[in-house]
Amino acid sequence: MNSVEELWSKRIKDYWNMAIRYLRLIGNSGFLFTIYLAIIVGSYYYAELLRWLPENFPAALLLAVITALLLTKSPVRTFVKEGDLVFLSPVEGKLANYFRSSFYYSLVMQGFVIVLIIVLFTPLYRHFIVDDAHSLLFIIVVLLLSKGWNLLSQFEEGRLLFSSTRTTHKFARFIVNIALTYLLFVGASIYFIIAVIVIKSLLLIFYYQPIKKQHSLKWEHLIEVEERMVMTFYRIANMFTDVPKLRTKVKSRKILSAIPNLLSLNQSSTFSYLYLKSFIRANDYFGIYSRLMIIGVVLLFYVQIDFGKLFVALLIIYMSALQLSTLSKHHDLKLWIDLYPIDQKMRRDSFSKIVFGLLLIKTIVFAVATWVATVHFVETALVLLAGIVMSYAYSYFLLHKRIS
Amino acid sequence: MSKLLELHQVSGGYHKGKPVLHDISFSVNKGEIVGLIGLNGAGKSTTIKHILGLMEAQSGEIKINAKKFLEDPNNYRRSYSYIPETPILYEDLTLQEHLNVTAMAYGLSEKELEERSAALLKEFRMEKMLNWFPGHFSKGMRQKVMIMCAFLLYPPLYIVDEPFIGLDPLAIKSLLNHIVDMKERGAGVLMSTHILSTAERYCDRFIMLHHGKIIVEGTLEELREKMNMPEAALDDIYIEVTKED
Repeated sequence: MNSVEELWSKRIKDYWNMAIRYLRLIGNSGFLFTIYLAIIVGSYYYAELLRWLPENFPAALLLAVITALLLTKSPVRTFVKEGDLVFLSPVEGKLANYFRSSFYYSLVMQGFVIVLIIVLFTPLYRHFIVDDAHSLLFIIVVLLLSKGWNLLSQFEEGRLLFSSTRTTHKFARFIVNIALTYLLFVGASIYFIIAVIVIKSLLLIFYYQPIKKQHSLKWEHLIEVEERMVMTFYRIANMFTDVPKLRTKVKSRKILSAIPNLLSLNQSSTFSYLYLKSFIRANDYFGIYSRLMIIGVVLLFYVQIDFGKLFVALLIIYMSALQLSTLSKHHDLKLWIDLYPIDQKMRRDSFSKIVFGLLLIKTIVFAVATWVATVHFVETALVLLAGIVMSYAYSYFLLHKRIS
Repeated sequence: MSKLLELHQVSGGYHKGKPVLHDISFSVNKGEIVGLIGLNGAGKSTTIKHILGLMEAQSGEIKINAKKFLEDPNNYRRSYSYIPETPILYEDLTLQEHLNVTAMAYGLSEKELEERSAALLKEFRMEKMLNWFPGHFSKGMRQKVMIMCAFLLYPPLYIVDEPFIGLDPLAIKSLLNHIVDMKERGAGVLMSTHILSTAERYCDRFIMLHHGKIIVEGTLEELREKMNMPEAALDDIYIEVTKED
């Protein structure tokens, strides 16, 4: 019977159907444009950075630490669900193929990340260590092998009883990993590398196999690991669009959330109150808003091209506006907002007002930053005026088009 | 007695041509508690959604104080308060803020909010949880938030959907006291429940729904007479009524 394999392929299909929907939203949100921009600007500054770094920069150590961390963090993507605790755990013995598929899947996905990171660091490697691509190919092969080892080990570690023992194991694995990666990047003799690989294989046979025999699968832990990985994806998607599953994340933010209390207890401020409280507490709306603000201020100080400051300010205000628009749907699943004896129009107006207010604050901060950076009246006035116009146009017109 | 809520030959449902409710007619008068009784899937919640104005009847009409929903939606909404079957809370608002939002949405004065919420918080022993978020509430506490929000308002009609599940005995007692209190002030109450012994003690009349139709209605006395079961409890009558299939 191959229903276990079928289950696995169905799970992975469901996941990717969901993921692709979000990825499409991310693609449509103007994010790709930002990536292009980052790549173009980034590659210029990358070359600058390499030239600027001192001769004795510890490149090998840096690369060793980064790759060792990537290797050590090897959660197996199992696609298990909460219900499996009841329905799948009884057939645990028949699930070997299921978990094998999970292992290969995780190896491919996480291996891809490793290759990507190595590609990213290739200029650094060739600049500081050896100017040769063959040795990098060898490094990638060893790293992928080691990734497999880490995935297997971490999966078996999941059988251990306490999270503290799992953490010590992880730390021990990090030590072994960094020994390997450091030897790799300083170009040590191949015998050292073979030695570490042998040690890893022995560990797998004589340490991790017994764990497998002594301890049962910890389903709750598996589910937790799986959920954490899905959540990471949701959190990334959430920067671009509203993810309903994340709505329940709430931070109390006592001081900030006292601000909406200044509103009078009128019927007309009901929705302003509601949206402001949610903005401050829920879904990281506030976190992204303020992070974008900080990035904006930093960029305003450093960008020196003509009209660069104006462009940066408008770009960040627009990104902020896109993100804030997801707040409008935040309460849509709550019956109450449909029962309140308040006109739809008032709900819409309150929302526009909130978004406009928040964008206006950002505009003013950017104008002040421009002034401090340049002491140039025209440039500051330009940022301020264009920011206000754009905030107003978005909050009162574009926003509602986007929502509907 | 004047009719507060009136349903006249209401049919409706989720799909065209497949009505869930068939020709439902009943009324709730001022100062009376009406029990809406029925098995799972009998159409109780659908009936309530129609009354709330969330669903539109495919035929027939629903009036509160002789006004239909579409004549003046906001006024219609203002004339009832609703306790849902499963608590629906804003996960990012504290208990205090739930009360505030409710007061704001229905235009209560600050003084009204303060007096009424203080009394309710004390009664339902939730004073210490004022600044808690729903994430920290038990099922019963969540239900209490719903109850407090509903009783913060003094509308002419209360619509209460299966309110007892998860509540501790003291809270059930408090809830029932409040319902009786509102009735004595002249409000009408429509209460759907499976706890028939409680319904028997508190409701003035009963409407029994089965497969989306009203199969029998009246006071307990009238039901006993109709079913020819003198002395019978509401449970027995209900089991008898739904027996034939």
